[in-house]
Amino acid sequence: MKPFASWLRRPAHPSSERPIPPAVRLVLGLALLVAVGTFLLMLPIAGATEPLSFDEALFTATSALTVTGLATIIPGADLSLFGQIVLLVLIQIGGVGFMVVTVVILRVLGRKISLQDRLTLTDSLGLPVPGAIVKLTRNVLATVLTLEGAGALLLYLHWRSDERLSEGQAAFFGLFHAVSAFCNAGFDLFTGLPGYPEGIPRDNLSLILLGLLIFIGGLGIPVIADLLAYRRRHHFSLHTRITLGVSAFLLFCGTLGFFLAEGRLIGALNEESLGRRLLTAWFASTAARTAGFAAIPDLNDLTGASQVLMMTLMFIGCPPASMGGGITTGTFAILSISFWSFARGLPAAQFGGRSFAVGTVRKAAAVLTVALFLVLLATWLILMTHDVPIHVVTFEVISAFATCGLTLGLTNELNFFGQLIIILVMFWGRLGALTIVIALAQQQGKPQSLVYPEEQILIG
Amino acid sequence: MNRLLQWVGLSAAPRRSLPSTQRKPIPPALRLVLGLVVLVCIGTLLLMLPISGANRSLAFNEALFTATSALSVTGLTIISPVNDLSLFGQIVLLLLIQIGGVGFMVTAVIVLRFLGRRISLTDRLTLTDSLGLLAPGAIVHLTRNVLATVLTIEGIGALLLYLHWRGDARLTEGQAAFFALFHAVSAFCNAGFDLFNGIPGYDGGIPRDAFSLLIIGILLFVGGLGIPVVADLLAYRRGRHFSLHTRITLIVIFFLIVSGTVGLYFAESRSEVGVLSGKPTYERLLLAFFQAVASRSSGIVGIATFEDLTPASQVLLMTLMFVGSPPASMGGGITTGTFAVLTISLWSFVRGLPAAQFGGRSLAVGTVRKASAVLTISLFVVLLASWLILMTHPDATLDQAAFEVISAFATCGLSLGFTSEMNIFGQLIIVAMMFWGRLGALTIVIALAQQQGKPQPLVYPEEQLLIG
Repeated sequence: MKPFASWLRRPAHPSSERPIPPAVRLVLGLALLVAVGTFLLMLPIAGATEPLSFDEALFTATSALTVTGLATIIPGADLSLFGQIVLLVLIQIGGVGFMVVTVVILRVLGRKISLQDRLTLTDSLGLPVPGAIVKLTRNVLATVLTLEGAGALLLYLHWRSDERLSEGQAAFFGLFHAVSAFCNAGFDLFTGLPGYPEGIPRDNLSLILLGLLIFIGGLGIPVIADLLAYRRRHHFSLHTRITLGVSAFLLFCGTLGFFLAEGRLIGALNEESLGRRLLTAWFASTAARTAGFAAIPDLNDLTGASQVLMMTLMFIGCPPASMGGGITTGTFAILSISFWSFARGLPAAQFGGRSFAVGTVRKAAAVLTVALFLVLLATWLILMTHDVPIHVVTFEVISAFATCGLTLGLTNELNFFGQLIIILVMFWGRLGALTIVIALAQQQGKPQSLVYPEEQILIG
Repeated sequence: MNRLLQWVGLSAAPRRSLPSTQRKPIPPALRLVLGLVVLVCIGTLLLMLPISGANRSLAFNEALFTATSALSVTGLTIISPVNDLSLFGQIVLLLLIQIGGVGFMVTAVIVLRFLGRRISLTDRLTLTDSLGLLAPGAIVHLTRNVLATVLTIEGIGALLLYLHWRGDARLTEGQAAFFALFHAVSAFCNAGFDLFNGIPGYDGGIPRDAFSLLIIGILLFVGGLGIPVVADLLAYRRGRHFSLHTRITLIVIFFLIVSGTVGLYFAESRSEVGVLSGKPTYERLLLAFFQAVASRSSGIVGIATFEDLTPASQVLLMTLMFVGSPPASMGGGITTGTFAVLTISLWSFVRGLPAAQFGGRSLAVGTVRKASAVLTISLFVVLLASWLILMTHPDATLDQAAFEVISAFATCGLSLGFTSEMNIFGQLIIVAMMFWGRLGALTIVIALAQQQGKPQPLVYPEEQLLIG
């Protein structure tokens, strides 16, 4: 391997070439992957009975690579085994992040990882400083695969006793759903199978296993790394503490909210036992933060209150550099902390004996602003071209933006224009709210050398 | 008059002595909250008097809702003002709207002046806050100017409306005069109460001929500019210079009105679905324009069949309402200032600039912090209120609940007709939202959270946190 690798190694970039900035690299990289994925899914062997059309393949590839899970096709019925494996690989690549994949491939080929690559990877993995990137990448990949393997094994052992599945199906389904859950994608293969009119099995053990995978995948790489390193360092970073705090808070609020709203006489869970109600509410709350597995067969049965709650949870989403999207728990935490500090009259945003840089607050406000802009604009455009109620569209758009994948059933009814909008929103959401704007707006010239005088303006 | 004031002032002079310095002054935010509470109580009592009702006196919840709606210049209502209120009740309503519009701090200053009492520094600071001045200046002088400007504009509006409406055969001479006054005040204060709804001759509410819409639209627009901007515009001849606040406000308003007009025009012109399809182009444009102006914070409806608006327009209206009017104006919402700061800050951030910059000026860091705080708390409050209403009204759809809540929060008063169907719990939530919205998104939180002690003497070390 070694000689082969060093033979492949080429001289580094000529330094005269201007490096592409990280944000643009991320955008281009994901666009390239989407193109490849679309092409693969359009191959005749990928379709079950007939090959997918261009828009179906594009939608599915984007949805998989952004780990969203919205689908205009039924993967279990419209894709061949080959197609399903392609889908699985796309989800996995989308989940661990294509920069990680790039590094792994470059390493295998023996190429040098350039500084630009390292910086981009630092961004996309959410590390504060570029460190031992290659080692870290290996660790990330090992952790992800181990967790998914364990999940797949447990699901397989549980599902093999299901008479509706053959042994081979149980194994493949175990693997597919473990990956899909861990990557918070939300694609499932059960929908469309004759034995499963209601989609994924919702017995207690399946829900618990899937829920745990979703939750861990939704914690994000920096947090998992920090948790794993706890035995050595006995200290959590502020990021880990805040992420765990916010995740626990959101999980608790979501569970309680669903439990109360759906336990009412008009609620969808009114007839279930107390334990089932709690478990389903917990699963819904976990999955809403970005996984896209529906806790009850038809989300349209949810009461309006639960739909608002679900949209809020989706919009907030997961921590940065995790499998999920949304404005991220970090933004949510910073905005809340900043808000409270402001109301208390403190000189800076403070929490737990630490203050936050002004730049962090500026960034959080920028994320929220652009996220609201995007969601409203996309909702308006879809409403202009479709005849459907507002909340259905808002739900779908937020679900796409947060790369969540829960649906009220609108995605199947979208015309091509609507599908393109959802594709764009998924793409935008997976890259992070600001990445595309930064890629478009960043000044290439030298930094501005003057400072303008300050002036006050009135607000709120 | 002057001598009278002096005399009252002299007689009140002993009261200037200083027992109050011993007491801890109530901070401005809390004063604003308490002041509005007192006014709401008085308004509720007045409206509950038997002579206020037309046939019966109002129930407590009806009076509370109406008083809050009037004082917060919202215009949502669960009664029909023209049928359920006597003339006395309507005059009370008019006064409440006027007080809510010019701001009760202005009213308080006038009353204190009239009684010859001194205006304390805390009063001055509170007034500075509520008028949206950046530094406490010649408050009393300014207050007089504000009041004079408001009354002049309202007077002209009322006169024009009266001259126009007196030719209307469905109204008597007296009705025309009172209606003109009422609607001029209601429009200028962006309240959105109207007396036409419920009168036999007017099925669609207010008259929608071009002249009425134009006058009402101009009143709404000027009232929605806000005191600092109007003052700046009036001072232009002397100063030849607009402040950054005025420039930004005018640009944002222009942008919002243009996008609103274009959006409504396109959405409602679509054949078969749009409510304006089938009307001539200029009328469609006029109605779309009027509605774009009106929906930023007054609840006056330009389109007769408002509930039939397409969903796209409803989203647009919710957005416009949520953004709202400039600070220290008759309107609510997160304010155009917040909207502008957030947008400028976003753009500066993605450009990689060291601070939020616009037009050769940088914005203070505190401004950006405040803007993000306003947006955060507004979203919190609106979501929580919608959720509570949905939890207690099984029949309500999400769209209706969100629309009414945003309308109440922005003290706008547009309604999809759901407010009148709410139970008492839902009404209380809407009352709370109107109250919260009129005070400004942060005022209540600041009143509750502000630390009374000395400022924190230590600075914590900085740490990074990953976001977005």
